[in-house]
Amino acid sequence: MRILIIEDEQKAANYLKKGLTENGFSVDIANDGEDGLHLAMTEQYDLIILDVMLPVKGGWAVIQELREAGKEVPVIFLSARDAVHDRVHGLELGADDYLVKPYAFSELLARIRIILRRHPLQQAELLKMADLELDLVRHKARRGGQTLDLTVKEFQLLALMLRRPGEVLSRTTISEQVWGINFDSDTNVVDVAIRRLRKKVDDPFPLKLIHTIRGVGYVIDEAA
Amino acid sequence: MSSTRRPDAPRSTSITARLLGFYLIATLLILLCTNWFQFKALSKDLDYEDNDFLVERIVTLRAIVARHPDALRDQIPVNRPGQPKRHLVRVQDAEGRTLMQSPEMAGLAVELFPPAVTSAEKIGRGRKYRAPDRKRYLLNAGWAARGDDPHYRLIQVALDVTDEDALMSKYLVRTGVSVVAGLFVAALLGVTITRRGLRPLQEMAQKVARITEADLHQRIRTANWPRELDQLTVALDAMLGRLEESFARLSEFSANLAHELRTPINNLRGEAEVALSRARSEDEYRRIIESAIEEYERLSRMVGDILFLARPDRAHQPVLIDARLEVERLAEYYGNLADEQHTAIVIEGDGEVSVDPNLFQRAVGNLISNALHYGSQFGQIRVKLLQTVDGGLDLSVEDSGMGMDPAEVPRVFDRFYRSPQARQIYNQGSGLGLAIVRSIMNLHGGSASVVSRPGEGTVVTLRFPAPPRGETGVSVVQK
Repeated sequence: MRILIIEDEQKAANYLKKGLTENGFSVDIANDGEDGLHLAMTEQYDLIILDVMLPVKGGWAVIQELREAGKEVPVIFLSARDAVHDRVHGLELGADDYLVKPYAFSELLARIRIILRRHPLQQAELLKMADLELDLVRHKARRGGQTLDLTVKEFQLLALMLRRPGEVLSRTTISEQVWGINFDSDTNVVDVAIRRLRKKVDDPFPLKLIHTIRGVGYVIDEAA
Repeated sequence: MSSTRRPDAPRSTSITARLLGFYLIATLLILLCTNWFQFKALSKDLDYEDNDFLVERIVTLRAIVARHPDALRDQIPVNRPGQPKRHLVRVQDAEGRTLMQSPEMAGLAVELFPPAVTSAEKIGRGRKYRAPDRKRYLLNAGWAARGDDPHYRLIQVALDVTDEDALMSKYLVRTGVSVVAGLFVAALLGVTITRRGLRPLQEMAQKVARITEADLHQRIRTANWPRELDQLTVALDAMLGRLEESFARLSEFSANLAHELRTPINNLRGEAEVALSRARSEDEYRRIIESAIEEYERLSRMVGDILFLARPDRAHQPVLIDARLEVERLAEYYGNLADEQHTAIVIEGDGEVSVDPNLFQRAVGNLISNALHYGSQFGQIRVKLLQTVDGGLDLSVEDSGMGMDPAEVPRVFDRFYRSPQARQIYNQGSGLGLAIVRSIMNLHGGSASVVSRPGEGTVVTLRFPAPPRGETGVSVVQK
């Protein structure tokens, strides 16, 4: 999977390249809109990460010319501009997503994966990991043959994580998906919920499945 | 003045032009009235004199006919060299034969004269006649009696008024000229007076133009302005006062902001420098980076909040929502946290409200989160919903916490304001929560207020206005 990063901020481009390379992508970098557009036109990429404020040629112009040339490669905008109309403008020009700086790297990774469909969400009726089973039809959770007594929200939280195994979920994502809360709360609500879930899911068993990535979020994974 | 005019200023008539217009109209009316009155008076006087003269002539001639008919011939004015004759006479008998007349009388036919009256009746006013030779005459007639015959002789008298009429038209022309001249003088005077009268305005404009943000403490009233400008100076000074206050707030905000930004940046820098000062274990590096990420989170949340507050015209899309449903969602979200503090979140009442759901969530969420942070353990948080009579919604969040000092209440909505106790209890706050709540309320045309009693608790009330007309049906946004 090849990704093109068009970003004039050298530091940002470098850590993006590093992070994405470590996650199995091959990455090219362009430092201005002109070079980026040239690369995008001549090479085959699976996805382009595009900054809005670029020297020589801005992000808006780059995507416009790409789309006019009939290139349908997915584009994710990165921008420090978070005004609603900027976001709308980006999506209108044919971007697939729009992230506002500063964003969590895990968030970017998740969105890239969603776009590239590398992780089709498991729509199974039964979610499994190690000896943990979630029966979505009967709303039952079992581990090691024991039934786990989970609240509705705890069940939803566990299901959310099991659908995206190995993927770090930010507190914001969890708040949105489980409770329908759309603002960044400065409280540790999610931490408390995870702690309670762990008590029921992990504490009684030797193999811990739920892991904390401090400062980033939570992930469910068999590998410690 | 023109230097400060922006190119897109609307076209407006100047005060000078307007006043000048009024002056000219007033002057014109005055001049016209006085001159017209004089002209009329003069022409009437002349008319009366002429009429009286004719009537007098007729009366004299009657007397002569009655007593000395032979002397009648002497009364017919004839050309005497060097003496312009002013009047002409014709005498006829009852059958209409002309017995005698002045030579020029031949040009004035008998029928032109007004009907003659006998001496028993009053002689009317003369008739004006314009002869083909451009001469103007005043004509009158009367019967002269002799013995008991009232219609013995017809006397017709004509008065040549050509000169008088010429005089009057000359006078009229002069009047016109004087009116125009008067208007011209009035215009000059008007411009001068207006300019002088408006000079204080110009001076004021210059004074105001010189005020920069550095000397917003200046006031305009200190100078001696004419009394008519009092209202303007008061208004301008009030505006300066408001500006000064906003600037003061802005600089306080900047100072607070700098402080709030310094803290996490300082932590980051310190931790990083200490980490680099010698070799560390992998775990230590990991911890430092993790701690850094937490600081970054704080920073980006703060920047997000500041930007949120800095955009008073944020786009928001109000929809009619079931407030209770939304509050229940929040209560569920904060439920675990409340449990840990042995605090119950109780919801009372219900209602509908027209808001942007995300912003509503954020505002009420901030209040509940505050109540959790600053409320007491083993307490209760009550969220009360009340649909008001006018269709608005009152939402109050009540905690049983420590309350706060009455002196602090007005400041709690200020950006970055944090009371000393609040800092002690919870030092992760940014001091922007309530500022954001108020900003969200302003955006929706509502208001936020606080009532607090030390030791008893705090109540924050949000008042949402009634939804605009035409919004019907509840569309609860489900995520």
